[in-house]
Amino acid sequence: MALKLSDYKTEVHNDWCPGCGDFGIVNAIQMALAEMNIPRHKAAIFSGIGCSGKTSHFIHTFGIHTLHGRVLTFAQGAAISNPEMTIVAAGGDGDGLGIGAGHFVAAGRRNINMTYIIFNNGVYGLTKGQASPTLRLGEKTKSLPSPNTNYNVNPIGLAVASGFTFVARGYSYDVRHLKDLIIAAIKHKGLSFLDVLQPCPTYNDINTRDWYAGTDITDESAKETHSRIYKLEDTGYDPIVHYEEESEINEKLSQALIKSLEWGTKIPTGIFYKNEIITPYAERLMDKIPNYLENPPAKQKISSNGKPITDVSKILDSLQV
Amino acid sequence: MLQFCRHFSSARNSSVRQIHCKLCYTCKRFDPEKVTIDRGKLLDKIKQKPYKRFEQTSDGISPRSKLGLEDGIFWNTGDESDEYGHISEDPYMRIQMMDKRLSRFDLILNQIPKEDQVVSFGMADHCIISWGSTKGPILDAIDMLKKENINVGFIQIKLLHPFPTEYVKSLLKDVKTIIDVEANHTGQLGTLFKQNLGKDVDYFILKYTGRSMTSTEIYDSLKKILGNKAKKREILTHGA
Repeated sequence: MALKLSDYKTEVHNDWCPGCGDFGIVNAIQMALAEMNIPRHKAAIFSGIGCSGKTSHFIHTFGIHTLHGRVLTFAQGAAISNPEMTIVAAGGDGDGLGIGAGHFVAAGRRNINMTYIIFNNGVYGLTKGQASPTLRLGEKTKSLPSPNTNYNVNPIGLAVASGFTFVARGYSYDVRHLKDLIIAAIKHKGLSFLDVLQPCPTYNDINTRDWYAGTDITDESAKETHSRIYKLEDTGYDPIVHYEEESEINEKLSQALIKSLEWGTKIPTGIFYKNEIITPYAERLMDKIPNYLENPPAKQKISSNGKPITDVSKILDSLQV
Repeated sequence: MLQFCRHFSSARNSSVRQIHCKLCYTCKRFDPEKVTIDRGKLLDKIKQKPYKRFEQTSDGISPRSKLGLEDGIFWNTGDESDEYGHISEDPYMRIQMMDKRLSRFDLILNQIPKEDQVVSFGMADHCIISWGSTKGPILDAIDMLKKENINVGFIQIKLLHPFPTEYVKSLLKDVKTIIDVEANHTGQLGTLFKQNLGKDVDYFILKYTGRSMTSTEIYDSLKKILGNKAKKREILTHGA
């Protein structure tokens, strides 16, 4: 029986601020799961700490609300143990690119088959709006006493530099486009990264919904408003690495990096980079454990009638002195 | 090693995390046949629906599902949660959940065999309390004293939290002088002892040079204590 969109929602009261960009992301995740008809017990949403941390409680799949900056460690563990499951990690920009930046880079190098979504609003919304790692140098959002003194991390650039094999950006108010990106990310064989731009209506008074809509850059002569957001796929941009050639990989990596630097009046969304030539972690594991996929850790039996089924006597023999 | 397996099983049973304070060490070969694995209330199939991962139960332990188990969906959070595992700030829910979790301390004290909580190596008017890697040199020092017909008792405390207060109290009921031997500056076991038994230890023998204790320096300090010539804190320094 096909599940409906409502089957992926929980009854948990949502206390995000009215107009929060988080709503669009949760809706898009639920829509993606419903459209792909993924059984609810075959998916798990991992979340970090912050406003976005509650994401897992609003989605009716397994939901693991983890630690600040550590969402990728939990999610990767689950993905390696349960390769059949759809694993989505969701966390804030402060969570994933501040304290979690080390895990972000390490995850890229592994390329485990899962999806990581960063809710990117430039501020630490839950704790009163301090500058997050993606807020630009010199910008002063509502609750900062003085302009930001730190340079911003470029999430897309960091992802392509770290080995993520699917790198994309969405916008939380374009829910349908975001849903399509999430589906593409889940289907990708390897580690997918989605940078989702989202206004924080309470604390980020610079990158607001109106700002993204470009109301401040109205073309006076034509009396038209041009959204800052545009889609890479509408420009003929090809993010895919087609051949196993270093020159092509380098070309696709560099064009993604260059695109990631676009900001201001034109902000690209869509898929920046996609490489299915680099082996997913499961394949690398199978070099060492040929039956890994048939017998992954989550399915392994460790005991029978209260007794271990593994014979360790040979190991003990080898350790005896 | 066998004990470690046993403790790991009992931790699974009581749904708590355990911290084992141990160094790498050698041990006698153990019989793998004697190892038992008890995974507690781990479910293979969900019979009662809707499933509640943190259901209130009479023994304070809820049957646990695992990722991927059909009808066994649950949520986890590091904050307080309701029976499904959803984050909750409901004050009454908090009381129920905290009472449930903390009731497991009594369960653990009842479940873990006494000999795994505290090991007694004999009692005397003077008794050492200690934990961990100091055991070997302490036993050697006690043997050295025995040759001089001096008896010193020793209990090795293995379970630090929940602290086996009543059992330690009963073991030490006739002891006159308690000596805490530890490889740290503050005498951490002594602090736990005071917290739980409501009385201070009489002497500390401490070493924090980053070197292991030797039997001879423990012996020297014990001699000083027995001869009423020791300071409250005896600080050991052997080793280059």
